[in-house]
Amino acid sequence: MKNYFLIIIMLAGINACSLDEYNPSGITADAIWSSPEGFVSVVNSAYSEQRAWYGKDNGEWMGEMGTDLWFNSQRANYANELMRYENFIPSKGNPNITTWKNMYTAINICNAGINRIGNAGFTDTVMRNQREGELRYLRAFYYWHVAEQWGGVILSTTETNSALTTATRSDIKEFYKLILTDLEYAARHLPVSYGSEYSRATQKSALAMLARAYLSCAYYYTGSEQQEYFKKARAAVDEIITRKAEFGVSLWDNYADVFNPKNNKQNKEALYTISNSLTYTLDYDANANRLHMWFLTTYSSKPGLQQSMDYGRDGTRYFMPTRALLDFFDDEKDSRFDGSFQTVWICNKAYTWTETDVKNYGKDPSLIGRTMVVGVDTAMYITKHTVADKRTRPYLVIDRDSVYNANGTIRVGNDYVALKKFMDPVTRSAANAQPGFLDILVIRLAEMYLIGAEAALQLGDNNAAAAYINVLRTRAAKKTPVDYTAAMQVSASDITLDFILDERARELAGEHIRWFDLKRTGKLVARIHTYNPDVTQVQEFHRLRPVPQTQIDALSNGAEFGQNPGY
Amino acid sequence: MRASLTILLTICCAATYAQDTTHHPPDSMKVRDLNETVIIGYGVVKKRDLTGAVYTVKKDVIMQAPVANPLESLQGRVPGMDITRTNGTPGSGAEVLIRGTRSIAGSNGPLYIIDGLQGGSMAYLNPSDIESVEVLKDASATAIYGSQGANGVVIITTKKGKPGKTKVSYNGYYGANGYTQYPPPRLGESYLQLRREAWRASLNPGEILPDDATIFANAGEYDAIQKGQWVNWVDLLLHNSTQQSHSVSVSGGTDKTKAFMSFGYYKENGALKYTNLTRYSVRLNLDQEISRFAKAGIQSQINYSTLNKRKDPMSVALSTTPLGVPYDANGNVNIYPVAGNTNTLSPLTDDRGPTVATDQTIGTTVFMNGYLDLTPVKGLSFRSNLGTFISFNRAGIFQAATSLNRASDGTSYSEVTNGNTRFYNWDNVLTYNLNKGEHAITVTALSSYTHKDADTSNAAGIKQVLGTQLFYNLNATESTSRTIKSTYKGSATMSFAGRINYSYKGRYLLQLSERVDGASRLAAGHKWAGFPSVSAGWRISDEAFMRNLRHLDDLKLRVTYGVAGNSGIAEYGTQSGLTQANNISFGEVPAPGYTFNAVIGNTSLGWELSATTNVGVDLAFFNSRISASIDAYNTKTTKLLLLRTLPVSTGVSSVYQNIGSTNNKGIELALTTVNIAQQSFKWTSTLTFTTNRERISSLVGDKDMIDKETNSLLLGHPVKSFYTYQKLGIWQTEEADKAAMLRMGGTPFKPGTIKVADLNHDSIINDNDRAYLGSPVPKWSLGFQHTFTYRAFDLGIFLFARWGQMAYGEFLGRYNPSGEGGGPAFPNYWTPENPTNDYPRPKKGAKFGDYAAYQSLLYIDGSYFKLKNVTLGYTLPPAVSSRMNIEHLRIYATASNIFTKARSHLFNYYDPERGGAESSPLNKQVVVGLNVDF
Repeated sequence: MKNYFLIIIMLAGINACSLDEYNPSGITADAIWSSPEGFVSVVNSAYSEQRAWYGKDNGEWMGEMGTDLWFNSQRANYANELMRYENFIPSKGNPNITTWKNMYTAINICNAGINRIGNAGFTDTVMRNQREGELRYLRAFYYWHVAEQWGGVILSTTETNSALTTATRSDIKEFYKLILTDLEYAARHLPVSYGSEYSRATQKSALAMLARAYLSCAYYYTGSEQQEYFKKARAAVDEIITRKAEFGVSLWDNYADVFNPKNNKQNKEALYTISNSLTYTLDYDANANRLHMWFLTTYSSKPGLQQSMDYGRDGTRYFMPTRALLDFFDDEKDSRFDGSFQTVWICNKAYTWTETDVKNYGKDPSLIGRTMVVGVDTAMYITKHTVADKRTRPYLVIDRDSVYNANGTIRVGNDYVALKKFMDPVTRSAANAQPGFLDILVIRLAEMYLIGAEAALQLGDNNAAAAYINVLRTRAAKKTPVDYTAAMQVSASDITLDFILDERARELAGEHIRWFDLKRTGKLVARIHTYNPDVTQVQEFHRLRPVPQTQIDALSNGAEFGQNPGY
Repeated sequence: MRASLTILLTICCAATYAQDTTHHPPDSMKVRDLNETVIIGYGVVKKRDLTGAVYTVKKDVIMQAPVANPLESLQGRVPGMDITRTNGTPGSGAEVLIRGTRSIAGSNGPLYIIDGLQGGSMAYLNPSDIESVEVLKDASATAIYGSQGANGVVIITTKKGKPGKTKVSYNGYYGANGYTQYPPPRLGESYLQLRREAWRASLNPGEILPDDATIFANAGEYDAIQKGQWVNWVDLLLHNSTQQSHSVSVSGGTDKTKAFMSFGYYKENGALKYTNLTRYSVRLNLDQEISRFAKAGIQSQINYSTLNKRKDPMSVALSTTPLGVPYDANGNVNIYPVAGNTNTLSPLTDDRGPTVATDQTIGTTVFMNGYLDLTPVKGLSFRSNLGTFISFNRAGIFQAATSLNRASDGTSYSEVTNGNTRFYNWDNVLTYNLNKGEHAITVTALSSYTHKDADTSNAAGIKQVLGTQLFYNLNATESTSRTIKSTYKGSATMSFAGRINYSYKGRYLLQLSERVDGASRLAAGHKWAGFPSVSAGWRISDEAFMRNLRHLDDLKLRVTYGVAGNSGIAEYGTQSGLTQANNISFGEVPAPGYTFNAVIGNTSLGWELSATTNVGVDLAFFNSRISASIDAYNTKTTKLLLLRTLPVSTGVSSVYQNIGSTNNKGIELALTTVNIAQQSFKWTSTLTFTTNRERISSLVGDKDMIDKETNSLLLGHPVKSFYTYQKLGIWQTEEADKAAMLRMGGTPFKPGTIKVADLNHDSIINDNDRAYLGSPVPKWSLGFQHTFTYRAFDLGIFLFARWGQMAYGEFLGRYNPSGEGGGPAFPNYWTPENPTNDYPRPKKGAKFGDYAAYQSLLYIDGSYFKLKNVTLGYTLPPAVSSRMNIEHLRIYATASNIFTKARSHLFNYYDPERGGAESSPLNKQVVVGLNVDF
C-alpha cells in the first residue's frame, strides 16, 4: 500500500519539462546576413522579384499593353483594364496588383541589405561596395518602375520589422533623388564584368539605368533643371557608347541577329539581362520566359500547317499589332520589319485543298485538289499590304484589308502579322510547351541611342539627335539587293518627339518599354487616339496606375493616403 | 497560480476514470437513464450530477451511415455542432464547428480526446470500435482542457471487453458510391449560340456577324462542330463506384482480464477513376487487474491506409471545349481530342492511369495508450496515462508530361515525401471522492504534459523517362532538376489543473475548476495562462414543492461560466525568420537567396480567451417518454488572434496580433420523444435544433478590416462574411440612359452589363459601394431522426437542414462569356432579345472576371434541406437465430445523401453541402449491410 503512495508521488512529480522552442530548420536574418558569404544571399534574393515581371505577363501587360502598338488578339476583352482602360478600378487588374507587391517586396529586401551591410563583416572594401552597388542598382531599378507606374507613392528606405500600418506619400522628385543617388553609387562601384555571372548588375547596367532615369526624371522638371537632367542622360549614354569596347557591348550587324536564339546567351547588345537556364532548378519559376507565345497568330489550324517548334505555341495569344505599328516601318528599306515580324508560313503538313476549305477560306474553286509540299510551298501569307489576287493564290492570304478597317480599327482579329522577336524554337520541351528558357534582354544598347537622341532633341541639338538615330538606321537599312543605307538616314529636320517615338516602336516594339515611353513623353492619350482607334476609354489620368485597393484597405490612414486621381 | 495547483495536487480523491460499459439498447429507443455515466474531462459523472453542456452520442448512431470518418455520422445529431462534409474525394473529412466560429486566425475545430489521449484523429477510427462520443460544449466542461478547450472537446471512448461469454461480431456493408450531381456543360446549338452572341456583342457599328468558319476558328474546332463531336467531359469523368466496410471483433474476458480486439477493412472508390482509399485497422484494448488496488491496461490501434488521389479535373472539365473525340477506336483516351489542336489537352488525360498521374499516400498510424490505476484507499484513486500517437506517411507523386498537372510544362515530374509525426502525452490524475451524509465531494488534481514534433523530407525531379517507375526511381530524373527539402516542427505544453465537484442532497450541485497552461510556442514572459470555470446545478424536480407534479420526472437547471483558450498560434508564430527565396542564378551559376518570411513574428502573442456563460435546463415527462435539454449560451472571445494583413508596401504580408473580439450567442435544443410504444410497433423521434448568432464585436482601430470578398472582417457580422457589390440585376435596353450615367473605372455601364447598387449615390461604382452580403454561417440548423420498429423490422429516417447561410458559388463563376472553351449550361445570359436578370451579355474573348462587378453574381443563398439517411433493417427473430447459434443478426439497407432541396435554383445541379466549390463534388451512397453477433 505504501508503495502505491510512493508511485503516485513519484509520477505526479516527474512531469517537468522545458518549454523553450526548438527550431532547427528555421533561420534568422541576424544569423545569416552577418558574414560576407551569408550576405550575398540577401543580394541574390533582391534580384528575385524582377524575374516575376520581365518575360512574364506582368511585365508585358504593364509595359506594352494600352499603348499605340497593340490591341487584343481577336479583339477579345482580355485584361480590358490595361488594354482598353475599361473599368480600371483599384481592386482589379491583376498585373497592377501583383506588380505593386513584387516591387515593394523587393524594395524591402534591398533596404534590409543596404542597411545591414555594415554588420556583414566585409573586410574587402571593393567587394563590399560592389554588393552595395548591386543592392542600390536594384532598389533604383524597382523604384523607377514604381515611380513611373504609380507616381509619388511610398518611398521607404528602411527594412520593415514591425506592424507598420500607416504610409505617407513622397513627391516624385524625392523618388528620383533616391533613384539617382543609388544609381550613381552603383555606377561608381559596380565592376565592369561579373564574368560568368553575367546577369548580375554591372557598371554598364547602372549607367544604362541611369540614362533611363535621368531622361524620365527630366520630364518632371522645367527650365534649366530639366536641361541639366537631359544633359546628364546624354552624358550617361555617351559614356556607355565611348566605353563599349571596355564593356564588351556592341550592336549586332543585322537587326535580326539581336533576337536570334543562337545569340541569346550573353548577348553582346545587352546592358542588363535576366538569365534563364535549362537547368530548371536555377530558374526563378517554372514559367521562365513566356514571351514567345503571346504575340503569335493562329497558324496551326490553317491548311498545310500544324503546330511546330519553329512556329511556336499559338494556343495563348494576346497581342496583335495595330495597323499603325506595321505602318511605322518602311518594309522595303527597313530590315527591322522582317527582323521583327513573321508574314510567311511555309507548309509543314502535307495538304490538298478540299472543297470545304476552299469554301471556308473564300478561295477560287480551281484550287480544289491542289497540293502543298512540306518545306517548299507557302501555306499562309499575312501582310500589311493589299493583295489583289488573294482568291487565286494556292495558299491562304490575309491582307491589310482583311485585318483592318479603313479607319484603322481591327476587323476580326483572328489572323495578323505576328511579332516574332521572342520566338523560341530552341529551349522549349515541345511544340506546345509554354515555358521557354531564353534570356530576357531588359536593357540593350540600341535603347541608349534612342535615349541620346531624345535628350539631344530636348536640348535643342537636332543634329546630334539625328546622328544617334542614324546609327540604328544604318544598321537597320536593307543592304541587299539594294543598299538602302543612304535612303534610311534622317536629318535634323526630321527629328521630333513623335519621330523618336516612331523610331522606338520600330526598334523596341514588345520589349517591356512602350508604356513608359508614352507616359514619360506625355503622349499616351494622343498617340492612342491617333494610332489605336479601338481603345476609346483612355484618359489623361491613366498616366498613373491606381494604387491597389488592398494597399489602401490595409492602411489605417487609407483615406488620408488617398487614391491616385481619377480612379 | 501554480502554487495553488501544487497544493491541489496534494489533495486527493476518487472516481474511476474509465467508464464501465454496459450494453445499451439503441439510443433512440431507451428512456432517459439518469444514473448513466457521462464522460467529462479527466473523469466521469453521473448524468444526474452533470452541470456542464455535454451531449452523448452512442454507438448505434455512429454506425448508422456508411462513412469513412465517424465524425460525419454526428452530423445533425448534436445540437450546437455544425458538421459539413469537406468534399467528395475518398477519405475526405468533415468540417466541424461547435457553437460557431470564435477565432479568425486560429483553428475553430474542437479538441479530440480518444481514450483519454489527445493528438489522434477520429478519421483513423473504425466506427464499429466506438462505444460512445461525448461532446463538451460549454466552458465549464472544456476549461479543464485550458488553452485547447475553447472550440469544444470531443471525447471518444472505444469498446472494452466484458467478462463472460466471448462475443464475436461482424459488422459490414457493401454498396455504391456516386450518382454525383454536377452542373451539365453547355453543348450543341446552345454552345454555338453563346459564341456567336459574344461576337455579335463586340461588332463595330455597321459590321455584320462573320460566318461560323470565322467565329469557330480555333484549331480543328469548326471541323469538329460540323461532325457533331460534342463531348460531356463531366459525365465521362465521374463514375459510380463502390464502397465497403468489414469489421470483425472479439471481446470477452474474466473478472481480472478483459479484452476487446477488432480487425477492420474499409475501401472506398471515388467518382474519379483510380481514386480510392483502402484502410486496415487493428485494435486491442486490454484491462488487467493487478491487485485489489491496482489496475493497468492499454488501448492500442494500428492503422494502415493507402490513399490514391488525382488532380481534381472538374474545373478543367467545365472549361475545356466540349468538342472532339474523347476515345480512339481502341477505347484509349485521346490526349488531344480535337484533331489538329495540340494546345487543348483532354480533361480525361489522367484517366489513363497511374503511369500518367499518381498521387499516392501510404500512412501508418500507431496509437498506444497505457494506464495505471491505483486505488490505495477507499475514495482515492490515481491514474497515470501515458499515450503516444506516431504516424509515418509516404506521399509519392508521378505526373507524366501529358498529365493535367504538367501539360503546360511539358515535362514529367516525380516526387516523394516522407513524414514522421511523434506525439506523446502524459497525464497524471488524482481523484478523491468523499460521501458524507448529504454531502458528496470529488476533488480532482492533474498534471499533463504533451510533446509533439514532426519532420519531413522531400525529393523531386523532372524528366523521368519511364512512367512505369512512378516515384520509385528518382535517380532516373534529370540530375540538374532535382530538389531536396527537409523540415522540422515541434512544440510542447505543460499543464496543471484542479477541480472540485460538490453535491448537496444530490439536489444542489457545484463545480469549480482551474487550469494553468504553459506552451513552448509562446514567447518567454507570455508562456503561462490560467483558465477558470464555475458551474452550478439545481435539480428542481427533487424539491418538495415539485413532488405533486406527477408527470414530471426530471427538471434540472444548470448555470455555468468558464474561460477556455484557443491554441491558434502556430509553432514559431512568435519568431521572425527568413525563407529560401525563389531560385536565383546568374548565367549557369546558382545563387542561393534568403528572403523575409511573409509573416513577421510577434513576441507578445498570447492565447485567445473564450468566456462562456451557459444556462441549461434538462426536462423529462411522462415516464421520460418526452425528454429535452435546452441550452442558451453567450461566448465572448477576446484577445482574438489575427494574421493581420500589412500594407503591401511594407514588403511583408502579415503579422499575428491579438486584436479584437467575437461574440457567439445561441440556443440549442435536443428533444427525444417516444411517440408510440406498443408491443410490436414503436416510433421514437429525436430532434436537435441549433441557432447561433456570431459577430465580430470589436476590431483594432474600431473599423472594418477590408480584404478580398471572402476575407474581410466586418464589425457586427460573422467572422466569415462576404463583402462585395450588391447585384440588382442586369441593365436592360430601356434603361440605357440610366446605365450610362453610372460609371465604373471611368467606363459607363450599358444594357447587358451587371447592375449593382450605387450605395453612396455618387454615380460611380467603386470600392465604396461594397457591402456585407451574407455569411456561410447558417442562421439555424436542424437534425430530425425518426426510428420505427415493427416486429423484426426497423426503419430510420434522418432529415437534416442548414438554413440562412450564403454560399460562395465558385461554379457560378464558370459562366464563360466568350464562348471559347467550355462552361456550364445553366447560366441564362442577357441578349437584347432575352432581357434576363441572371447573367450579363457575352463578350468576345472576355473572362467572367473581366466584367465590372462580376463578384456580385457569385454569392447566393446556400440554405438546404436534406434527406440524409434512410435505413431499413430486419432482425432475425431470436427464436430463429438461436437455432443457428447466432445471438443477433440484422440485415439492413441504407441510402445516404439521397435527396437535397436547396433554396436557390442555382443549386439544382449541385449538392449545396459542398458549399459552392467546383472541385470534388459530393456523392450519394447506397449500401446493404449485415450485423451479426455470435
